[in-house]
Amino acid sequence: MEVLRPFLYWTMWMSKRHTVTLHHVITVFNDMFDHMDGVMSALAKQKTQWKEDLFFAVKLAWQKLSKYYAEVTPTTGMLLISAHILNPLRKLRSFRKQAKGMDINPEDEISYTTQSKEAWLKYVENEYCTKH
Amino acid sequence: MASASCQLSFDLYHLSSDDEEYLTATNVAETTPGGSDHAAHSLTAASLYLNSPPEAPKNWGQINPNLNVYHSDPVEISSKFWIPDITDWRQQQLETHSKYADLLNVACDIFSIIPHGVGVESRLSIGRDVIGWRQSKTTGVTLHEKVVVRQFARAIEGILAGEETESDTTNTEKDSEMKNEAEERKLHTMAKVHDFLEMWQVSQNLCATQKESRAQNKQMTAVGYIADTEEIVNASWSLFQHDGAAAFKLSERSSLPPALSAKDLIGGRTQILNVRQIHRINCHPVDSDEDSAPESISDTEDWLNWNGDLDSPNHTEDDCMADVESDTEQGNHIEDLECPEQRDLCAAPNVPRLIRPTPKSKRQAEKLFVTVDAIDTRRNKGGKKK
Repeated sequence: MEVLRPFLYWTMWMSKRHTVTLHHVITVFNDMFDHMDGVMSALAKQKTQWKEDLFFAVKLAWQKLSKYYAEVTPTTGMLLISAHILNPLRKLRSFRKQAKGMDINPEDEISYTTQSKEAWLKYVENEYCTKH
Repeated sequence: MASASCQLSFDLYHLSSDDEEYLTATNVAETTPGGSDHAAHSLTAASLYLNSPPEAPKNWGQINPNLNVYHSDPVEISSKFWIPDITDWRQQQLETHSKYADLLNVACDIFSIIPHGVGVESRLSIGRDVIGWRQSKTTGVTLHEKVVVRQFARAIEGILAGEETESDTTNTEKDSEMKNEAEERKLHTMAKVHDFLEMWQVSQNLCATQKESRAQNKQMTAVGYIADTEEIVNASWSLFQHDGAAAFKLSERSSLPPALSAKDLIGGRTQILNVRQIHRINCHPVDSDEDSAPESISDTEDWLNWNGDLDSPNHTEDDCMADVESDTEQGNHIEDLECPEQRDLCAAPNVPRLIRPTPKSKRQAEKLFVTVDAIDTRRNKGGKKK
């Protein structure tokens, strides 16, 4: 139950909102990944059978979620990236944090932060600058 | 424009058939100087927005949802802290004519999309299958009902699943035939079940009727009718006495009709008839040829059911009369003791394990016929005297 509680929490949190929630999707994704990383690190050295099974299940869930999260790219998940950038609380902070976690310079062209920034500027230019 | 200038440099007479310059002119006409300024402002605002640090939530009440408070109720959190949202911040920027006000259109277009309408989120939920990503005002109750209806339709193999049937244009006649066969199979099974239910209902009614009739039978038994069990329990073997040899004599007598007196006989025809019947029974294949087996099963059944010959519809009284007349014509009268019919008077059916009459009983039968002959002789003499 403790492992699954965040899933319930975020599902309820997202479904009960009466305001805009699209800009929280990537935040929730990251929080879920952090939670599963913490659970797996806690269960990694456990030898009890049910704990090993739980570790295996959480690992599979992590792989499943990462499969969907990998599709949030400038080509396939531009809506989520734009919504996240338009959140004045976050902007590019989450992407920079992710790049630092992967030992990548956020200002580097390869980094996810730079790719998202350029993709969003191009999106604004194509969708709003050329039509007006 | 560079390409156009190149074309002018090489095409002195403007005879080029390329329509590129016309297309370029048209495109230029769409963008007004004011529009280009607006586009430039939007792009500038976007760049400034990205280069500025994130806003502090204290300015407009927005909080960070990543609180790690999974044990608390998310609905309560919503009621206490989550009333203001980023739309308030956008409203402030618009009212203060901020440098980010040009991004208001972008924010309105993107934030009007519900989360489950986005491609990645739709993988995790069935929301996008139910409603489009532009239908953001659908209530939760309506969404729930639509999901239930859609899932039910999918569960019963595509009925009411409008999108699937419309998109599935590759349905062939073979598929429709297979569906029809499947439906027929289902109907057949349902019909079987229906028949079974009917049979079960009939059996239930029959049981109820039998119970009612059983109660009535008990009442009738109390009045004096034969009961099913009580009479059987009272019966015992002590009622059957062992008579020894007399029992066989009784059986010998009971196997034949009661002997008639000579006064009742008209020429002894009835007695001759009985004798002929016994003669037929005595013609058992075992007696005639003990080594040979019966020719057929029907033959064996005939001599086993020998009493049935008396009541045989095929052997009518007319046939018997004809037999008697033929016997009379042939001179085989009842007085002739040497005829085979009279010798077989005491013959019993040759049934295995059945005790045959003793020679004593044969002698008694012969005495009986001798007595009959004597009476007939006296009657004839008396008649002549009269």
